[in-house]
Amino acid sequence: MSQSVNSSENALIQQLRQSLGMLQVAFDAATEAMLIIDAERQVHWANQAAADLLLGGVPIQLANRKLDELMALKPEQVDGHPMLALLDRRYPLPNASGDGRCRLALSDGGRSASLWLRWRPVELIQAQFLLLTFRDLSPDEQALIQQQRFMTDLTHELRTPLAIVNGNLQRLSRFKDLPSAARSRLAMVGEEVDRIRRLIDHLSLLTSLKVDPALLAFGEHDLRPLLKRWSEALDDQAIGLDGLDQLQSTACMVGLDPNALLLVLDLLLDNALRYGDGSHPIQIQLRRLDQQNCVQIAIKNHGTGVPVSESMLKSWLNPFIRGGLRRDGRQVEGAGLGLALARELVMAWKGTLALEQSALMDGSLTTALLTLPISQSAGNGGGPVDAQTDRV
Amino acid sequence: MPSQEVWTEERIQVLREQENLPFVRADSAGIVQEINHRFHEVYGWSDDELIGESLGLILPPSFRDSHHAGFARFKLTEVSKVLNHPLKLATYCSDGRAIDSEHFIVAEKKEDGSWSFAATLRPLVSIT
Repeated sequence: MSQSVNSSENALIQQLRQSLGMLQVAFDAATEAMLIIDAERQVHWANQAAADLLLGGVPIQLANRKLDELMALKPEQVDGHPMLALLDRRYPLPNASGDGRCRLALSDGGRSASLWLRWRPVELIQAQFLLLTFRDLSPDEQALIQQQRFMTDLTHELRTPLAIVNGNLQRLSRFKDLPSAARSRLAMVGEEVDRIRRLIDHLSLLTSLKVDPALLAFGEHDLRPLLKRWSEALDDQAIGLDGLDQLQSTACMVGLDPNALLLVLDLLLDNALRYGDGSHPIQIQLRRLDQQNCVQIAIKNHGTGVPVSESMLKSWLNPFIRGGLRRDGRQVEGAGLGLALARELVMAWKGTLALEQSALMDGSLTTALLTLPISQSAGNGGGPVDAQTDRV
Repeated sequence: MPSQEVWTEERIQVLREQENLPFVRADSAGIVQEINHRFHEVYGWSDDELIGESLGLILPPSFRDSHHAGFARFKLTEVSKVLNHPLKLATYCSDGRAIDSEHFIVAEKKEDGSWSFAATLRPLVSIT
C-alpha cells in the first residue's frame, strides 16, 4: 500500500516537474522580458529575457533583488509619474494595468533601447504582485524610420509637380472665354489636386507621429481660449461654438499641442460636414466630467443611412478606411486619413477618440467623441459639471 | 549546450579537492548525493540533514522557485546557462544564514541517459 502511494507521489512529482519545465521553456523562449515583483519591489520571478536585459545572467540571479538596484526607469512619454511609481516603494503597487514607452538605466551604467513597458496586477491569496513586461521597440522603430524616410522622399517628390499642376490650373481658370463645361472640369480637377495635397500632408504627419510622438509641442494649455480661437476661425463656414463661456468660469488645463488640437478639431468637423446629410446642422458639445477628470468634445452629424456595426465604426479610425460618401459634386472626397491622423494626435496626449452611432427616424446620428484628461495643475478649478454647449 | 565531455569522475575528484572548496553532488532529480567536509564546515549542513534532500535546500527560500523551474527546464531541454562558469548566488546555511558564494556547476550525462550534477562553491565572505 505504502509503496503504491510513494509510486503515485513520484509520478505526480514527475508530472509537475515536466509541467514546470514546459512553462519555463515557454517563458524563456519569449522575447519580452518578464518579471514578477512584490510591494517591496523585490523580484520574485523572472524569465531569461529579463535576466539578459537587466544583468546579462540567468533568472535565478534576479531572485530577491530590489528592482531599483537593477535599473532606473526613464519614461519616454508625456506623463511618466505612474511609471516611476512602479519602482517607488513609498507607493502601493498599482491595482490597474498600464503601459508606456521607456528606457532603462542599468546598474552597469548602460542604457537600454526604447522599450514598451506593460504592468499588470497579479492578485494572489497571500499577497499582491505585479507582472512587468518589457518589449524591445528597436525592430519596430527601425521599420518605422525606414517607412518615414520613404514617405519623406515620396512626399517631397510629389509636392513639386503638384504645385506646378496647381499653378497651371489657376492660370487656365483665369481665361475669360472658357466654356462653362471646361470651367466646371477645371474646378473638379482643382478639387482632386487639393485632395491629393491634403493626402500628402496627412500621410506625412501620420508617419512622423508614428516614429516620434514627441515632435508635438506638448504643454499645459487652458482649453477655453483654444476652443474660442478655433470657433472664431469657423465664421466663414457659419459654424460657431455658442455658449463657450458656459463651459466653466475656471481654467480647464489640458496637456496637448495647441496647433495640433486645432488640426484635430478641423479634421473632425471636416469629417462631420462630409458625411452629414447637409440638411441638419453639425452639433458640437463640450462637457467637463470632473469625476472622470476629463473633458469631452463631441462633434455630431446627421446621416441618411442606417447605423453601421461597431466593428465598422472602429475601422473608420484606421487609415484609408472610408464610410459611405454622399457625392454631390460639390464635396471633395476625403483621403480616408483624417480620423486616423486625429486619433494618432489625440493618443499622443493620452486622450481617446471614439465614434458612436445611433439610429434616428430619418437616418442616423454619428458622434466623434474626443476625450482629453484634465491636468492636475493648480490652475484647474472645479467648474460646473457637465456644462454643455450646442452649436449650430 | 553544457560541455558534457569535460566533466568526468576524475574532474569531480579534482573539484572535490581543489583548494579545499565546498563541494556538492546531486543526481538527475536534483537530490543531494554527496557533500564534502569543507561543505560541512562552511555551511553547517551535516550528511544526515542534506543527503537525500533536494538541492533547493541549500538555496534561500526565495530562490527555490527559480531553481526548481530552471532544473525542470534543463530536464526537458538539456540546455542551461548556469553550467560551466562561475555564478554568484546566495547559499543557505543550516542555521538560516545566507552566504554569497560563487558556484561553479557542472553536469554529466551518463551512459543510461540520466544526468548528475556537481558544484564547487567559493564563499565570497571570509570563512574561517
